[in-house]
Amino acid sequence: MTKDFSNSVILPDDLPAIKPSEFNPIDRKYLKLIFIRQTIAWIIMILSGLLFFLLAKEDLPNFLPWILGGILVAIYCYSIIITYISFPYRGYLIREKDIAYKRGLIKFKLTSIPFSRIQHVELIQGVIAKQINLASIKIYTAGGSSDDLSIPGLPIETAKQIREFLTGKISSDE
Amino acid sequence: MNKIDFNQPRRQSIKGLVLIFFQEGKRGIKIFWPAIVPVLLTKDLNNKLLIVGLILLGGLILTLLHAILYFRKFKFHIENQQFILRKGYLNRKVLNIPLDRIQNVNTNQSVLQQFLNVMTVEIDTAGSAKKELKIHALSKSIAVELALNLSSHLEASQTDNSDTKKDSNSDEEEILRLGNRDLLKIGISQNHLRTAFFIFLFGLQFLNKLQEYFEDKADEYARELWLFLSQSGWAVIGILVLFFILISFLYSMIRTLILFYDLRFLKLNKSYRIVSGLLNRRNLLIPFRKIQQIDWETGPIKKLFGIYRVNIRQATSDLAAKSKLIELPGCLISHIELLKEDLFGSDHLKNQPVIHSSRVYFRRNWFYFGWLPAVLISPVFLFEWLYVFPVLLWILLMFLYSRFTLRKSYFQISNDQIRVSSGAISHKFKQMEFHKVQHLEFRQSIFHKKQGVASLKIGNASGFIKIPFIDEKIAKTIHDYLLYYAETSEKFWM
Repeated sequence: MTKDFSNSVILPDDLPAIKPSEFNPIDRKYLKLIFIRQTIAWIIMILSGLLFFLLAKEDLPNFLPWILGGILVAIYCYSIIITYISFPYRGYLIREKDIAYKRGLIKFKLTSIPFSRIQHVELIQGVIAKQINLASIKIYTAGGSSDDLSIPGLPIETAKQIREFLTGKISSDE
Repeated sequence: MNKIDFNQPRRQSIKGLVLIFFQEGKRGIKIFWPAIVPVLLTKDLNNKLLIVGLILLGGLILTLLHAILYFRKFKFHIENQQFILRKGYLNRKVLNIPLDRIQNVNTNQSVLQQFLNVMTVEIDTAGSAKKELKIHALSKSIAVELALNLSSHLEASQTDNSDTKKDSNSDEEEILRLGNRDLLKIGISQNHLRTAFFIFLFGLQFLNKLQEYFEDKADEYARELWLFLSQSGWAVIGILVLFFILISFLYSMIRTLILFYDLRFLKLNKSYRIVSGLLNRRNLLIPFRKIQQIDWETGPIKKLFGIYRVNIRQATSDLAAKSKLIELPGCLISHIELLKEDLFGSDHLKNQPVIHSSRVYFRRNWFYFGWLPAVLISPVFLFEWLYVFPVLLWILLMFLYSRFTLRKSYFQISNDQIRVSSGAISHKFKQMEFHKVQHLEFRQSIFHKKQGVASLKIGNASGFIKIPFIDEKIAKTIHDYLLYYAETSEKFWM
């Protein structure tokens, strides 16, 4: 392995690796939140689909709404199942010098940011999330893109603690 | 000026309410005007005025309500060396910005703001969400005081680069100057196919608009045109294609001339200066420390001329604004060597082993771009089996495309920097230093886990570099190493 870096690289013997087993899980209430959100989005989609069929003046074949409806329901079920199965794969990890978030079973994605690169931290709480006391933490780095780190589904107390911890880190390390 | 206490949360100036109302109203119109247009286009006039009136009135009331709520919940203060901004009534948002993270504080005044005697304070953290760090309506005295407060810590750290600005005219060294002949070469070697495609799309849109105006006759014309086309066959299609390529060629030439006329690339001390343009001469100063990444690219025609297009990527707080992406067309390989030497030191990546992407990358590309569309379109074969041949040809083309992509997908890494190659027809390189790393992303789909491959995205303050489909272990090691490097490096990323 080290040969790929050639002899000019001095790799520390024990590079601190991020281990998926050490991650903190996301609050299970967040699963409920995702379901509610997905369901609302789908209801809107299906309603607008219905509206389209009602307003469509041309005679569409009778079976068309059923086929389309079937496809929509199938996709909805698929997304619910995938969300459910892959939920345990979500998790965050705060180490001494960096923070990481992982997610996804089908498409695994791990994002990490060193504390020294954090520009600012945001605590976000949506309307539904407020009802079940959940919040998200969003971390911005320089040059920010949508790919910056965001940890959803934290109990509000934890979220506040993390925010305080991170803002303390970034203002102290200079 | 009397001291203003920023420790207490405060709102914007009450006059700002007017400003918010106009701003949000404008935004509302931008979003909702497509909903009004169909109403305007319907033919019965009686309801039209009433409906439009009702919509406008409703929008007005909603906007007013929104403006008041928004104004009431928008508060900011300074506490523990942090700037804290609270806003939003449906979604509460709290932004904390440590004062020492602030890169720049600007004040701005538009015409309406001048009239209301308020100012915008814009806080640039070189982080994202730039728009959210604008306070649009502060009365002038408060705005000035706040800007002073927020930027007080900057003075100390920025004295060194104000020095370099002062003696800007001395010791400038010209690295590159584009003459007319260079511009011609650059214009010729642009990607004409892409331009032709965009012009074609634009043309289609235009035709659609025309069709709306000449609704009844359009069908007739279309039929005539189709008759004409089907009778005259390939010759006309050929001429049309040539016509599009000619137009896009002209377009590229004009664009090149306007943007890069008499481009001069200069170096002084620790920064570059670029002067270019025909109508609007822009003058850019780029300090070395702000440069995050260098890209260079060559294509089939560029290769003939031996020229490269170089992009110098600066730290930016708004990735959508490409203005900070600095383009230098028509560089020779010697210019790139010079840039690399300035920014990355002597090129020790040259002797590093080349690590290629896995064959999985080829298979995935061929599948996504070749087989998947082919399968999706296959029901067409039921109607006309002859379509099998163009589809087969497409699959073959995508085979070649994916082969080229794989061949050019590789990287070289040393202990402090990386160079990644990519491209299919053209050949692109990206290079950056590791202390500029901002965030890292490790991606692996369930299918690739079995095959032991993964992709890596290395983010810096100007964007990111992707390394697709490399050995999982290498990806993991680089991920951990870069984190470790960014955390232990003494060098600041800017």
